[in-house]
Amino acid sequence: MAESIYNLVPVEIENPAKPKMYRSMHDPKTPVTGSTFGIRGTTQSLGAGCIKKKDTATFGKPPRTQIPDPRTYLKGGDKLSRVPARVEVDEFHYQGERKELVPKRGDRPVMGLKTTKNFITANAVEAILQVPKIKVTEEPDYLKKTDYGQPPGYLEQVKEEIRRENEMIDAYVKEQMGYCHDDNDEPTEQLADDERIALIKALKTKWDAVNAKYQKMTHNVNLDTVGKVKRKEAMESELKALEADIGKLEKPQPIYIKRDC
Amino acid sequence: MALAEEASQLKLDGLIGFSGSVTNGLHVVRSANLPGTGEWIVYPLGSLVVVRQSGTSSAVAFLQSHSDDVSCVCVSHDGTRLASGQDSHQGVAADVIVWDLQEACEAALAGETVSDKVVVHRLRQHKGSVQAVSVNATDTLLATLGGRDDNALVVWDLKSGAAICGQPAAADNTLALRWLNKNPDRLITCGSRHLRVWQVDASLPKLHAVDASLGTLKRVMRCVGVTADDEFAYVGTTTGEVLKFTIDRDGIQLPNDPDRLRPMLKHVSSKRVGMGVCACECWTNPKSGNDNVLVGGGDGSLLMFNGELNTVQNKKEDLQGAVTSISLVARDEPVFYVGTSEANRYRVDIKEWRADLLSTAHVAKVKDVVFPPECSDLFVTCSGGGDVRVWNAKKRVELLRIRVPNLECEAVVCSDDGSEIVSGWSDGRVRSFFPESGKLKFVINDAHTDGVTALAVVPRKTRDNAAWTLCSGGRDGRVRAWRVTSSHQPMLFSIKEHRGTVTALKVSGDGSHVVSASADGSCLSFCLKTQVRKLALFEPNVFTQVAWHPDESQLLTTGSNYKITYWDSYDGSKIRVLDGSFTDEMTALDVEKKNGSWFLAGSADKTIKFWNYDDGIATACGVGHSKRVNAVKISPNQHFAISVGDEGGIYIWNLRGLQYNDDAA
Repeated sequence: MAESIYNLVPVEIENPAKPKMYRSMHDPKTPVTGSTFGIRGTTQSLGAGCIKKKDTATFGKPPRTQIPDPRTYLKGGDKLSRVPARVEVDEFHYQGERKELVPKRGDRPVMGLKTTKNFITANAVEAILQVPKIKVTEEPDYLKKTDYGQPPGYLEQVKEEIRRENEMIDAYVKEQMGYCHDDNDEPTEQLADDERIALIKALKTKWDAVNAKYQKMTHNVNLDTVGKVKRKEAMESELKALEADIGKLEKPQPIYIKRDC
Repeated sequence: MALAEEASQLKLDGLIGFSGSVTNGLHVVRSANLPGTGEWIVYPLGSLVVVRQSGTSSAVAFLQSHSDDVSCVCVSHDGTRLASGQDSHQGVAADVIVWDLQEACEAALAGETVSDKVVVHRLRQHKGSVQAVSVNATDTLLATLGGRDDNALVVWDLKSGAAICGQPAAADNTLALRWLNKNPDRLITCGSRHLRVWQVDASLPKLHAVDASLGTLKRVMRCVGVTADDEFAYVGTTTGEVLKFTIDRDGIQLPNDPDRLRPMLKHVSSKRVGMGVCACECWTNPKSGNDNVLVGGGDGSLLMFNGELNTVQNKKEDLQGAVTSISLVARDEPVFYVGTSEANRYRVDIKEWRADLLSTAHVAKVKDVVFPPECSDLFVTCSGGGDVRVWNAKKRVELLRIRVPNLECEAVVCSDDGSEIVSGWSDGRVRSFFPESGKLKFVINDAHTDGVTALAVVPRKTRDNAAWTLCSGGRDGRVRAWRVTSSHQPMLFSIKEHRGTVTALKVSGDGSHVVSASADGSCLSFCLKTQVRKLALFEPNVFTQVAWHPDESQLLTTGSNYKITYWDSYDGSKIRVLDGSFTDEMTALDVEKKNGSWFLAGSADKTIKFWNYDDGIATACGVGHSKRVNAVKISPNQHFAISVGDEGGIYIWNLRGLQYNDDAA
């Protein structure tokens, strides 16, 4: 036989439910009719056969099995059938509205009914007497509104939100870039005028020196080596830088400087 | 919104699992201080310590505060405290946790999860691992022994959790630790070529050791048992002998005082136990009052030695796996409990010396679990330890074990008529077994080059034809189909579309399509008839599992991106993305088959969650696993679900209450 995993499933043996213990509907103390068991002797066990019958009896239950109970004797009128007491029962009455009766088969509809009302004049009279409906067309006066001319309140909210957001972004950017607030507070001082003039003088002297050197080589137009080219270019740029510095110092506004500690 | 706010706990119906390799891990406790009647069993399972009432399957509590595998467990004599140590990475602190066992037992009886209050102390002193923990006779002091690199002996005050004193345990590696039975200040440590008896003076505080004189004997002593009167210690060695020592010594003396009493080696057993002695305990014979030694060997033999270290006749039993723990409920109890490295637990009757198998469990990672079609009474698991097991789901007992040594079983399925169990192995073969005898039915050699990682059975329309189709996916990224007949199994086709391991294969209900999930971040659906690709889902993700909704209009995937994704199976568009977990990848998934109104998903974060399919809300969460969950399956009658994990545990979750809630809603 082929193997199957389902054979591994434990078979549950169901014990059939035990039926209720049998109890005879008959009185166990009743002697068995016709039994000859235990009839001899003076003592008789329960259920033993009993064939004590009258000598002449041929049928019927054995004696002593149908002894009448003296407490349940037949009383007068016991066997009369009892009539149950009359109970007062109210007739059923339907509660609530009743529908009109369905017309009978033989009923005839009422014919030839005619109104005497003159609808033309009645309508005309009704129309004449009608009071016109008052239509309320009053428009609200927007000029009298409390917030007339004011920018709407939500705009303030939006502005506030934008401002807060910008602040947050600024703070974040600053934090990211490593700025600290102290930078702004670093002390600056105004450059003294004599100091400025001394600086300009020194720069000019330097410019003269560089220019002198430069002029000594401007005749040379055949720049055949890298060194020459570089030297010329270096001098030119130095001169330009010096000129820019002089220009900056000569501007007529006050100059603020930071002193390195 | 992964977990609903009023999310309930999934109720655990049963648990099959035991870390048998932990020395002295199994403890059976009977104490008046513990609630309920009967005994409580304490044992480690991965990083958990499991506390369960003996004889019931529902009264279980999990103690889960260890970060790594539990390495040692001990219970105080009054039964109120439980101490456990753990492994850790080298140089990283390995905790010893003292637990309130009473609280844990009460939570187990009430069916609740244990609260944080159950952790009484967290003792952080050892590095790398904790070798042994032990509580002294009066339950006042706790001694802990560090692992190989730590090798420190530390004595703690059990009540306050304060460290009293500590010292390097020995110059050489120390393996076992034991307090004396009557003297609360003395303990024994033993290990490579030494046995020391320590005197603790908590008032100074001071630890003082006296080495036993061993003469020329050189042994590695692995376990130690002490007689009831504290006179002798019996020590098990790796060479299989049992040694007997006198352990009386002087108190802590002044430096110049001479030693008068030293622990001495008295006897060496002539009998050698195979593969070394792994566990040894002293048992007092209640009739004679003599101490006998219960010895468990590495070869699984369980013996009794008398006081003179001669074997007692007819007291020998061979068990499966090395006997790693022997637990006596009381010193003179006629019954004791044994745990072995094969994760078996036995109850041994001393008089008849008969070992009754109480439970078995997987030793290594459990990789997959499957129900036979339309049968909730059985389930099949496969493990990295190279075995496939069939279990009775009601009684939680093993019915069949199929072993293929030195290989790992990666996937298992049952054929649609239940006539065979098909499994995929790390050597690239597909092996099929008969389900009753466990014999090999067929092998498909070289099914995949680097191991078979996924299997699926194509359902047959009629059973007239004996041949059926099997789909397999491998570490080489190929999806192959095989026509399985009784005589041969030819390959029908091989699809080379994936670049990574095929992690899951699912066949549609009518057997026309197969969908494969792969670690390369793709999930492809093929028509089985034409082998044409019908659908491709791509995501930067390692797909770990895929499942059809029962009406096959949608696909569910789980992956390493912590998400559960719903896909339209017609056009492959993403419908919904759920956060399955916030901490680790999703690994397991199973959709209810009747109308797909809910599904279960397991994660590497050690939880199982019950999800409402339409709402995308997890309404219940199952906590119990101590490592990654590998697979979860809903039983065909939907009364329970089974999940398996890396720690080797099989967890059976009750789903009944949850579904009734659904029906009412």
